[in-house]
Amino acid sequence: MAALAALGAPPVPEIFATMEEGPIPGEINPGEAWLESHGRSLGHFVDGTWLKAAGRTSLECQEATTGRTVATVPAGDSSDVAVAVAAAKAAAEAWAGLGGPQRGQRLTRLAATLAGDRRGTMGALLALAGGRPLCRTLGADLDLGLRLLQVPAAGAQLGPPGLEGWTPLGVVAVVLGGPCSLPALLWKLGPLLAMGNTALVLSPPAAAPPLLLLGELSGEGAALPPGVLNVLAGPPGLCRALHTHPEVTSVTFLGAPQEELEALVWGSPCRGPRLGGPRGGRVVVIVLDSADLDSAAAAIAATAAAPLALFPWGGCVVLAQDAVVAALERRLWARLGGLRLGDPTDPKTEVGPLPPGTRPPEGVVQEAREEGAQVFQAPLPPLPEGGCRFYPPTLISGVAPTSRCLREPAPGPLLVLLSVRGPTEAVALASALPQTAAAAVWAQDITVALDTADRLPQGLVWLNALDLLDPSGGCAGGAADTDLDEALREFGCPPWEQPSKVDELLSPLVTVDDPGDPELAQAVAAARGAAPGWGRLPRASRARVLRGASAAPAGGRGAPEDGDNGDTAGGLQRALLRWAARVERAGGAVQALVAAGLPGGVLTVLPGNSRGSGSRLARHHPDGLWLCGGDADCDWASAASVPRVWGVPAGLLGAPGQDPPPGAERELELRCTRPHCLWLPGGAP
Amino acid sequence: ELGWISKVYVNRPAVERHAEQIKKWKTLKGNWQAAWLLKAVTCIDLTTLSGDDAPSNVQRLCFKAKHPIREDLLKALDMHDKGITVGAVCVYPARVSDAVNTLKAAGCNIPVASVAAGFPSGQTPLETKLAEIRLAVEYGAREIDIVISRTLVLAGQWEGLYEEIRLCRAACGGAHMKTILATGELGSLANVYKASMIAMMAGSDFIKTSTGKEVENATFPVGIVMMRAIKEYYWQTGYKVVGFKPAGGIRTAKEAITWLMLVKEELGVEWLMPELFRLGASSLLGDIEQQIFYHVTGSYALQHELAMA
Repeated sequence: MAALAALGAPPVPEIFATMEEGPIPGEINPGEAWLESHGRSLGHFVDGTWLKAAGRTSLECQEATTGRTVATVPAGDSSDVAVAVAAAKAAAEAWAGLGGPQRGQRLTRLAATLAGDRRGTMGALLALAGGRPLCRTLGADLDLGLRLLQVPAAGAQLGPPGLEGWTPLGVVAVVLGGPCSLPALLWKLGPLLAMGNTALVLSPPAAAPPLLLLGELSGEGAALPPGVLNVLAGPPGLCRALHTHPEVTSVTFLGAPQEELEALVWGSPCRGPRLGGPRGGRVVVIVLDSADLDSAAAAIAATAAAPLALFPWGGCVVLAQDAVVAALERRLWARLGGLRLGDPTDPKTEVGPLPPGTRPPEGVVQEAREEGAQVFQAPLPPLPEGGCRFYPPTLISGVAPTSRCLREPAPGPLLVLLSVRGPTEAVALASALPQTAAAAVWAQDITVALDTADRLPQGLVWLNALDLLDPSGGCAGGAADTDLDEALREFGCPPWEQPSKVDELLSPLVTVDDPGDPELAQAVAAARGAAPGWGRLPRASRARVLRGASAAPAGGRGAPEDGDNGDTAGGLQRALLRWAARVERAGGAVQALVAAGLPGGVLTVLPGNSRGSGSRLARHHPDGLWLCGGDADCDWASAASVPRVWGVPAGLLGAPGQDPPPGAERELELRCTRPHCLWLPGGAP
Repeated sequence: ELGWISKVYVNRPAVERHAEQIKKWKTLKGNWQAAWLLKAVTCIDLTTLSGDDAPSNVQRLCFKAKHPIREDLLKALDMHDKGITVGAVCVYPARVSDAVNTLKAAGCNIPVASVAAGFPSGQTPLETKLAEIRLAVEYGAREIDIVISRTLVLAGQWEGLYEEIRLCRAACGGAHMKTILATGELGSLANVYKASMIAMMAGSDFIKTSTGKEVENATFPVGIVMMRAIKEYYWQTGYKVVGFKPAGGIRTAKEAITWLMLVKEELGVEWLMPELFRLGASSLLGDIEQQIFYHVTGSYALQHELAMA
């Protein structure tokens, strides 16, 4: 009793009157304990041991809430990078040679270590660094992260279908732009390691402690051999040092909004069209009149409080049908007002501070106010010192799509509410919002719900739920929708391809204002116009058209595919590609196709030199880009955020008259399509 | 005007997921735990509803109701002068007079609640239900816990249900009426929501989850749905606050605190008082007293150290 009094707790009668909840007392924050055990001064983690080279300047790792320095890391420089690359290269062969099943076992062991008693440390460090509340980093994030380790592990153990003969790339560098949540990191690391590559993670000081802990844990329990996972901390420009190391075959960028990533990318070396990273975005929530409003409001408020792990930027846009918008708004006010703000390492906190490096969205909110929107902000409770990093949960309603808060995603617990007349209008608005990564539809009327979900362009759609994510089903990384299969393929090298080696730095093309390319622009516009119609034709009709086309080309040498009725899209693509490769480029070819019934705009053949056309095409923002005879344009295009860039390797189609290599058909099929994932929760959890 | 009935939608998986989250809430510690446990004690309806109830055990229950926690424990927490008693004593109609007399003799003002209207199944004719209520009020019960006819809910006869509850309310007269929805037997969460709203519209002062005799009693999904209905009713009318009582299956102090926290989150801290929140329980009091004993002394009590209810 005396000890409790010494805690400074108020007396019982007082609490009885106010019914306040009080903190969870006592346990020392395990994250701080771990940092203490290293004397608050961490080093790089390379080759299974700590690397602290003498004479380096130290960079400070700051806590997200108050900016207090919790640890220091050395500022890595090119010699550190050299050591790390050498270690990774040395370990790469052995790791790849272990074979899929063994690697899978090791990864499962790593997942077990993470799930064990170190999970508290990891959760606490993630909360400290990134500002995500502990209830998330220890809860849903960690579970998802573990799944992201276990599922590729299982896939590697069983041998993923269609990936036989794929070889690992070698050493892969992962460059972080800012603190990122565990799932976002493991989304890349898991498949990367499972495919047999070794990883070199370059992180800014703010994000370093949890990654260094991950490195340390990877050595425990004979999980990963030394050198497989290396973590270097350093200033943002460190990735430029990678260009002197041709052993690094691929670079991935993570953890920062688009503009910052682009700043990192220009001036870094990269290899092939493997410049990828989850491009975060917002979540669009459509609430129709047959929705369970209370559950929808609860889920939306929880998402506003701590955004989903894989979409950390941008908050939430809610499109509610007219009939229910007032009721939903009232419930959202009640929920947002009840959210608890505070120190992210406190298990009771629901809303943490803004992630470090982001500005408070005050400007956006102010603009909305000036436009006449109603802005509801939950009152801020008394905060620890340094409370300026907190932003209260905000709901903006009564804005139009032209308003700034809709045009750009803003960080922080910001919700925007729009009213729509019906599901059709909701789909139209959702398609028109820029940078949306996922969507949720709340409706109990199943026909309406499924129809709406089907027509939404976002790759990841939830029905009556938010934040159900599982890697085996498919997660979307913003515009680059990927699922696990594709993530694995990103880090492997198919048997018909050599890992490309490029050693010039990537620089943004000086956009000379060339007025040319109206043809190109028109062609892209025509293709975009024809896309919905062509895409909606049932498969059989498409097959019929293409079969007719391949049977009657100008100069007719393409052997028609003797099609069984179950023509795979791959087979037809193959035929079409073969045919296109043989036909001279001429407008006449297109006429023949149009005559065969291909809708205009679906296929356009333009004369011209293929060099440099990649970048020109990329400027018109196509949804996907294939470059036959890949060149550096691929890198530029994927860096410029064209999704789904592919340098079609020459060997893919096989020599004329021969069958293409196994797996090529599936590759083509996968490249032509984009996963659209619909989550339907049902039954008891 | 019951047009809104067809527009009630409750998504069961979402509610259940929300409930799973609630189970993971960290519990309170220290003085906060003690204060919340005492609040829970003041909200308990100490209940005995067995076939073998007799004046002797009802008397014992009433004494326990007056002194739910040992005097010296309360003194250590500085709460001995706040009049900590339970919220009410709940018995069958035949035992109401025993309870009333005992409490009067002890000089205690705790209301006696009686179950009525064909408890627990509700499958009796309406006249006997109303007669039972009137008699219970005559014997001195100041609160009546009535049971609805689940048949009416399952058949969708909402007007019939409204009429039945309204008549029971009239029969209660000045007594305060709790409507037991028997949610385990209503079939779906949407039905729970609809039945709650009808009960509130018909004049209930409290809605209660279950009789305690069903297979499934008070669970978090059901509680969440009923509390949302209460909130909605408050918004619609602008002033009417209806109380909430989960009953059945609440046996540990930790569960009691979780229910209190849930009420605070869904309805607000204004609902955390005996006038608007009750816990229907019998063995819960014993567990709460144990936890308070532990908080004060640092060890658990032996069986003979705490008075039996």
